[in-house]
Amino acid sequence: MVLSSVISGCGSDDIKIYRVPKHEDAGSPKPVQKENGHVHRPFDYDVPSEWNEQEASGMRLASFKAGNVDISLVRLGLAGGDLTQNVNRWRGQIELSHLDQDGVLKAAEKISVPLGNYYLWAIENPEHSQGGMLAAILRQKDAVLFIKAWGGPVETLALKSEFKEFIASLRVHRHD
Amino acid sequence: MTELKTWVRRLSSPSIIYYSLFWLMILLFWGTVAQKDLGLYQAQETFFSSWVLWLGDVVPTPGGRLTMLVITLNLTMKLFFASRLHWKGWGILITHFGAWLLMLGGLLTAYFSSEGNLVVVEGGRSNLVEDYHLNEIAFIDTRPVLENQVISFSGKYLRKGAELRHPELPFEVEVLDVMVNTTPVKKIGVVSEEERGMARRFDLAKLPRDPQSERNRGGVRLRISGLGDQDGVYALFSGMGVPQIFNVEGGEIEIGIRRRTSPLPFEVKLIDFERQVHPGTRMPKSFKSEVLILREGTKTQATISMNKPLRINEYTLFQSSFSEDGIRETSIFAVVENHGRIFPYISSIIICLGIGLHLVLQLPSLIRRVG
Amino acid sequence: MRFILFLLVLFWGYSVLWANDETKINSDVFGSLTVQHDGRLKPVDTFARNLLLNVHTASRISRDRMEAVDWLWALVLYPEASYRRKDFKVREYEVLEAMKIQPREDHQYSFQELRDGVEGIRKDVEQWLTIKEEHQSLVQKHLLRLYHVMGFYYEVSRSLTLFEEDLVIKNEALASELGLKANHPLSFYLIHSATNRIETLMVEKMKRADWATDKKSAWSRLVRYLSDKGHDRLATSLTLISPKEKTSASDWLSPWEVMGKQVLSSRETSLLNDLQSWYRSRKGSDEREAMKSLESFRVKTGDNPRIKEELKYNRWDLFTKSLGFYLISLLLLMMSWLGWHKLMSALAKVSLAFGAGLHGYGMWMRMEIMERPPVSNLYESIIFVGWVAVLVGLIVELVRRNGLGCLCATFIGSLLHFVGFNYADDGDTMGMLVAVLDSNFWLATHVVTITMGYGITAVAGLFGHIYLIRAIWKPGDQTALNEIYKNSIGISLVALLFTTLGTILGGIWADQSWGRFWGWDPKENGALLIVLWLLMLLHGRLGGHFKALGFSVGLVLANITVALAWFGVNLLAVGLHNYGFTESIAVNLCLFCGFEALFALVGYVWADRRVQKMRENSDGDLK
Repeated sequence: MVLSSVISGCGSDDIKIYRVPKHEDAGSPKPVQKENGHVHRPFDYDVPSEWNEQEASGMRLASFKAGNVDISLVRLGLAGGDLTQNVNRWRGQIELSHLDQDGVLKAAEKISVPLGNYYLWAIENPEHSQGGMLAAILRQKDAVLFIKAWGGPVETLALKSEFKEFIASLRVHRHD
Repeated sequence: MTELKTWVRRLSSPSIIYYSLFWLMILLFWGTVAQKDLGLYQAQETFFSSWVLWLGDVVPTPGGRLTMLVITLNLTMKLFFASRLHWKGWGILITHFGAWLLMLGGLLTAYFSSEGNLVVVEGGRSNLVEDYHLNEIAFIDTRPVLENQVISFSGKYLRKGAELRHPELPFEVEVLDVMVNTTPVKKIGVVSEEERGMARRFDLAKLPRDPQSERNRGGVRLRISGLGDQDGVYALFSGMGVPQIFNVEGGEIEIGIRRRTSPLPFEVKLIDFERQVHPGTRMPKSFKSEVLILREGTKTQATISMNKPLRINEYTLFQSSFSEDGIRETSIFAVVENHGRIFPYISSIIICLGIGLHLVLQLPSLIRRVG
Repeated sequence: MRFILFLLVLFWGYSVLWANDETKINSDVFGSLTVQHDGRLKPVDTFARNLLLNVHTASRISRDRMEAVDWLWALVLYPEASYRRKDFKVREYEVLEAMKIQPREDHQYSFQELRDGVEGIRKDVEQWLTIKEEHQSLVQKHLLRLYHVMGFYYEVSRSLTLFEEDLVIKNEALASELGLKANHPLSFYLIHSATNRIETLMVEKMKRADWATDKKSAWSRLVRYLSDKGHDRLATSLTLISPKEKTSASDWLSPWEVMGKQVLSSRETSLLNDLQSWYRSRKGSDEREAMKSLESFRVKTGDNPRIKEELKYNRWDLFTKSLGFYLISLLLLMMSWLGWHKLMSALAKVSLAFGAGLHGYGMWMRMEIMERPPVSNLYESIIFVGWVAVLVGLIVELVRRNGLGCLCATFIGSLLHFVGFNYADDGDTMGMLVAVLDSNFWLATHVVTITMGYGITAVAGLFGHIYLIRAIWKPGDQTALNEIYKNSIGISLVALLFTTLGTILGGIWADQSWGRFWGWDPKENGALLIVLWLLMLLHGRLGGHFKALGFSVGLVLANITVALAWFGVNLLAVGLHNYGFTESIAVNLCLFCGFEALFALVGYVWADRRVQKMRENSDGDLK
């Protein structure tokens, strides 16, 4: 239709009619449904032995404590997934200077787990009492997962291998 | 008969092209300098693609298109009615023929080609090409079960007083005002009875055209009639957060103003986008998209990269640019439909052969010692 | 007789090349090492020259007679001392004023001084960094540029600090626990072998609580040393360490970057050991050991023929040499007009030919090093056009034998070399190309053709100048004037062929890459301008609108179209063609165009008057 109207001259394709597939706008994720007061957990995971699971409140889907280190699992819509912005925000939180996009990507470890691929940053400021951070960003089809461990520099970074194991154990919860 | 001959001689005179070239060069220089402020698109429209160039909005002067038409006519007269047929003039004859073909090709391209952007997310697919500059008013009918139906109006329908009607639209629309670039401003003053929806709270301010095409947000004021209590005056602009939806029998129809969109007769699915940089830098070395072309049940795999476009029928897909929002990448293709594509290739060979031949014939006498 | 002279010239030329070679090759193996920078592999020599160019606006420090590579050597081995040396050249008074530094006549300042100056206005600088480039004032732009160069200088200076053996662990217990030598100078690199143990100890605070006070204080000193030295981790530019698979796409690392890896391969360890040994011997003035270590390092990172070629290219500096020959040729030519005509003009031609040979060889070397056609950026287009003009001049000279061709060749060749040097000072002229330009086929066809068109048009323009000068000087010499006129018509036809072909090839490239043959892009418009101007001249002549004099004036003005198309469009920075950008060109461009326009006007009026006078005195159809 478009073809013939173009050949016959300009102007006659000023009115067009055609079909397009329906698709939902992948903006914000569907809110987590609460049933009987319990948060309907979208993920299952294996908790490392030294971690204590806490009550997940607010934005958190899961919350843990390992010694004085605070660990959280948060899910946001796709809009919040910009790597550079997030990493620099975290760096700013422990009084470190910002990196440019290149620097952010260079500092990241890219790891593949059953749930998907994610970037891991180990951010450290020895001069800050809470200057240790492990942060991971994992992108799903319609949401972005943030897994973060935050505490003193030495203790937090020492949790790196457990942190990685935890993320590797994440899987989508099956509703029975 | 001699009067005809005189006219032929006059119209094929080199003086015409002498003066026309002079003027064309002025247009070229002026238009190129103006691009810094107007942007490529607007400078092109004002100086090169126009019939008339208005000086100070008062004095009309020949625009680029008119000048080139004069040159083409002059060339036609010379080539077909006043060519020197002696073998010494063959070089010039061939050159003129090549130039004539070039102008013809230019004419075809100017009127029978179109370009736009095709945006595909990694893992996704699309067949919709968005024009770089022109807008359309689109009606998206979500009533059909499997797909949405789009009815769009552009070109001559995008002006004051135009009436948008279609047998599959259960209402009538009258265009009250159109803006190339707009932004919503808070409404000051009385809200008229007719105004509905966003038009009750906002007015659309007319902004000057931005030299950077992507930054222009189109706007339009419409009067809807035939829907009973939803009738009234509505204001729409590109990229509205909340779309304007009408309830009609059987479902909903959404109206919006956006870049003119055309469907391709095939779908492009982006399997993978790859960007390589020169090692140790951020400078792009190569962009590449692995795509799957889907049409009428067939699937064809292809790679589109910079300097290696994909040609399907009369369409050519180029790797234009990309974007990424963190982890996912989106490939942006430039899609060109051009029916005069072959002419520059043929005419350039002919022109160069012509000049070369002329040189060979003339050069000995020019370089040889005189006297 | 002539033959002997020819041999003399030959020998002299060769000795000029050869002499320079000898003194250089014996020094720095350091300069011959390979680094990866700006997307390509280059010798440390080039890296040093570019850095020094940025810092000192010259590729050697003439005050100390230091070559770039020697200077870099000093910078990485003795950073603190280098900071006190006046390495930087800053000419902008407002920038110095802003930093509260007293300007000096020789414009030279030390890093230390500048660093203190910047510290004083730190808050301002941080604020200026956030302003968008188009809104920055000139002072801000210059100061920020200096700031970035300073940052780069500092970063490079820290490249080898990991080999500095400036820590001694006096506490034997700690040393043995870590497996390190006590009371022995250690460097960050040497301590690296104990990393795992140090990391474990860092976490196990409980274990450390039982330690003796001495051990504890030695420990905290060690930790502080590691933390302080660790700041130099930002030194990522001197990428000396080659990757295992040496493909062009893999990343080379700086010594500090390698330290950042969890596990070092045995290959990397061996390379770093070589560097540590070299560093130690260098500082200890053990020349032989130093040379041995460096050679061992160089052999392991692999020998690259292109690197060797680039080293030769740097040292031979062929374009300066060919300029010398062009100028000598010009001088000889002028002398030939005064006397000894045959000898002098023969020597002039020989000198010209030799210069052209060196010039061409220089271009050839660049092609070999970069593995791409001769014209890929603005600098290369200048070098190429100069060479084309010289060749065309030589050909004309061969045919006409009246010195005219020789004159054109030497004049344009020299002029364009000077313009080229100006551009070379911007930095590395062997840059990588952005994706859309990186196509050897089109670089070889379109770009070469269009720049040849520029060159030939310039020669035609020069002929226009010569006609006018001749008409003013000897208006009665009809024969000579006719010759020049006929020659210039021929040359302008050739120019038309090349510019038209080049423009059309550009259109075809654009169609192949972006889907449209013609987009009214400034660069396209510029090339078209030259074509249209030449067309207009040729048709105007056919239509009887002017004769020889007018045509020659038109050719003079053609030079303006070439200058605008070549350099002017970059100033507009719009569209797909802004890949050869520079700022200071605007003034020079205006001056050149103004000069040509003035020449055309004055030349026309004057020549016309002389011709009129001639006509009053005799018969003859001149105009």
